[in-house]
Amino acid sequence: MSGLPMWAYAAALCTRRGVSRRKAGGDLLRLDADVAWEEAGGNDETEVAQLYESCVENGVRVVTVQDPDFPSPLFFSGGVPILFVRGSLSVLGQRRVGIIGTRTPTPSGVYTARDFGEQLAAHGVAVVSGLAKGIDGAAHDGMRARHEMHPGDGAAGRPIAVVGSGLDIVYPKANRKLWEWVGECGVLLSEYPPGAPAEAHHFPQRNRIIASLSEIIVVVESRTTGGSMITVREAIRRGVDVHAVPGSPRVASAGGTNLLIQQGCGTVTDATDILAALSLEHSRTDLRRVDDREHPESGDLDVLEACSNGPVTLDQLMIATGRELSSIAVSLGRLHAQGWVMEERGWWEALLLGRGRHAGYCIT
Amino acid sequence: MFSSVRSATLTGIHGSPVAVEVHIGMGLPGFTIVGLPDEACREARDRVRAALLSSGCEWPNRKITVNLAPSSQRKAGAGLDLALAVGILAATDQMKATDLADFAFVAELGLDGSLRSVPGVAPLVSAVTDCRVVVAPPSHREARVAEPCEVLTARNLEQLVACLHRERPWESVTDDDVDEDEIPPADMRDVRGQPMARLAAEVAAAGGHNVLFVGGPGGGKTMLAERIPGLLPPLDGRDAVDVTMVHSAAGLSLPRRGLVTRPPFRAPHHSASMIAMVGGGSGATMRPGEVSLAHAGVLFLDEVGEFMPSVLDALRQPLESGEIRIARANATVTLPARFLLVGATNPCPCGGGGPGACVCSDTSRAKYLRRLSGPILDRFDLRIAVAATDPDDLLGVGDGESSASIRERVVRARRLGVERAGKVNALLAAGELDTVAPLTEASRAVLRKELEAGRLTGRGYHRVRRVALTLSDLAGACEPIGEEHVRSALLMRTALAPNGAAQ
Repeated sequence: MSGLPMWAYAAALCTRRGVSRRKAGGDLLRLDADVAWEEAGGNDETEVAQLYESCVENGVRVVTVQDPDFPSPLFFSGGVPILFVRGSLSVLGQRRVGIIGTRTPTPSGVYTARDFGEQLAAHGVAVVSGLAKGIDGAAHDGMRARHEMHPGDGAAGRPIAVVGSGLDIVYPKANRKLWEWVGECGVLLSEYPPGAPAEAHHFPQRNRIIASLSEIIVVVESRTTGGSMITVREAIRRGVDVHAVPGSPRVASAGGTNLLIQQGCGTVTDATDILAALSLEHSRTDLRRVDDREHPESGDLDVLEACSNGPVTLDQLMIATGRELSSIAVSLGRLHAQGWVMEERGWWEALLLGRGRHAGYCIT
Repeated sequence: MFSSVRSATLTGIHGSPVAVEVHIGMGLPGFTIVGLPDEACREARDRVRAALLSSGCEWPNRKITVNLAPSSQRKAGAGLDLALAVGILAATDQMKATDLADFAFVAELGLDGSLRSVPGVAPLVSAVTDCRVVVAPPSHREARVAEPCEVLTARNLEQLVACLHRERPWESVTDDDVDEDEIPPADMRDVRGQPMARLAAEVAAAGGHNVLFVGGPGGGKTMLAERIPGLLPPLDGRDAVDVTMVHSAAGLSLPRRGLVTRPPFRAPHHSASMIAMVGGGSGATMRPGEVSLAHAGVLFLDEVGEFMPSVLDALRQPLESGEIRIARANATVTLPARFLLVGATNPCPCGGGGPGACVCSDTSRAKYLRRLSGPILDRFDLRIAVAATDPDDLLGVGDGESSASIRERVVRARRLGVERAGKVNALLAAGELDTVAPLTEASRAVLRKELEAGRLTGRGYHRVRRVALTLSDLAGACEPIGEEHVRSALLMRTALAPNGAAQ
């Protein structure tokens, strides 16, 4: 035997063609990794050496069910014998909330996810997500904003990302910076060895890990079908509580979350609700942080109100307010600068935080 | 044994005079046409022979040589038929050559001797000056567009010979049956709701701004585009003649008055070839393309992303210079092509909808937008999201504002622009903007913020300023341009960019 470490054999075993994960997990619990690998028909040491080198090169650690710091939720749920890790597994010691959702959210969905990420980071809660486009990325992006605002806050909640490709293959590419930040500040996890591409069938499997690692799952925005709903199903099977953020019935990307609520899952409109679901102290004053946005001007309120029931087009704004484009344009410009509205491809939407917090002048 | 008759041939939209020389001499009976005739021109032999025989004339069984002078220029089409027939009659003394001295002939012949109209009568007639021109009766009005010729008509060859021999008077064509019996153009009144799109149409018409409508199927993009020509002022002298010449040369049917006074609307399908779009084609004709047919009017490209990239690329020259130069080995023509470009597209393959409603994959959406991007997207000053109308608006009482009432504002705004800088606002050069369209401090601050945030590029900056100027003109505001118009202009170019980055 050459001097290759056991974990390299374990990795070779688990990524071997024709070896199911469940069987690999069982073997690893019974036998030493190199023996298990040979039993599974492995005989080419160069294969193991290659895997070893690519892990070392990419700064990727391997933990298997044999290791004492293998995440216990995965140990019990089975089916995941090995994890490729970048970052610190100690993050898994924090309280963990899974924030998931569609890859094509509305601006307000993105805003909500970011807000949750930021608030949970502030309260020392880790966020488990998949680093996908849309809601996933937004939740971690919100955490990053909090960390950048308060660098050196050791108690801050950290990101846990479970991805569907090798840890050196960034997918989607647009999230590269966020990906790297998660690796430094929190932990990046994958079942796939370095170099593995992001393939469609990886993602349902990845979603099962997200469901397992989360104490509760919060769905921010989801269609009635799609990856988030798979995660929800897996979470329910594992007894993980699922909560959803209600959305406008007219927005397709809130169809799934609204359906979940109809079926009786918990409703979350605010980070406070999440903290309450985790039975954490949630009356700390800084959660009810003062909204630092300027009060909208009274002349802009009709526009803000028209935007507050889901995304609207300028046509709808003009009809609803009965105002000329030039006057709406000025109002929108002001509201946008103050942070009250967001725009995407010509659709405008009000950004109202939580329930009733700004009720005095937002929603009539 | 020799005669020379005047006619004309067409290149692009310009006619040039042709002398049809006929020589009948000794030799084996035969018929030769020289002087670079095209196929239709060469086939004149058989048409003319049959027409002469059916009109009771004689066909000389001698050696007939026809030269189309100047012989170095290519001749196309059947418009020389009549001149050829008359030339043969004169050369065989069936008609006195002196009767022909101050006549020109532009018509095709039927085998029964009847005169038929040919495309391009207006430019053809304008090429033969200082004489009376005989055309087929249907071409009469078209021919009269070319002042100041005297235009005569005859139904068939027999009648023509009689008239030329002064055996019977020329048939008079009366003008009094000309009335407004044309189909009225589509009116903005039919557009319910959609205030943004209506405003965009108005701004486009007033400032000559190219506009892109972005929206899913059923939003009424085509309906809006069709109504933009009706917002433009009627064509005046020079433009009307140009447009008539182009339409005549392309063989389009002209209004009964002859002169085209309504701004044209052209909507080529996205399968259009390069030549269909810019003009040209085989042979000597150089048929005007869609860009020229839309001259002084609207060129509407539905599903603009589906057009071949090379075809879209070819629009750049006309968009910049207002004309298109087509060069071929043996001819180069310059055709007018100053049009308002109106595009329509879906936001993505699935048709989009509100945020969160799109079900396209990232790659397919990126691919779709990529086809649209590049040089052509840059030419649209206005990018407007068009969503399907709310049923309440659709069913609601009351029509929208009529085209005529919008047109009044458009004409006023256009006049302001022309008085200020001699052109419509969309054509203002970047360098002129500061002197012609100064900004208020507040407007400048708004634009600075957008530029700093990366939501606006340098090119977009100038486009926004031009649109803001038009909005301010429409509002009848005096300079400098206020914040509200700049902000409105910013809102009018949002619809497409994935993350709000206006180019």
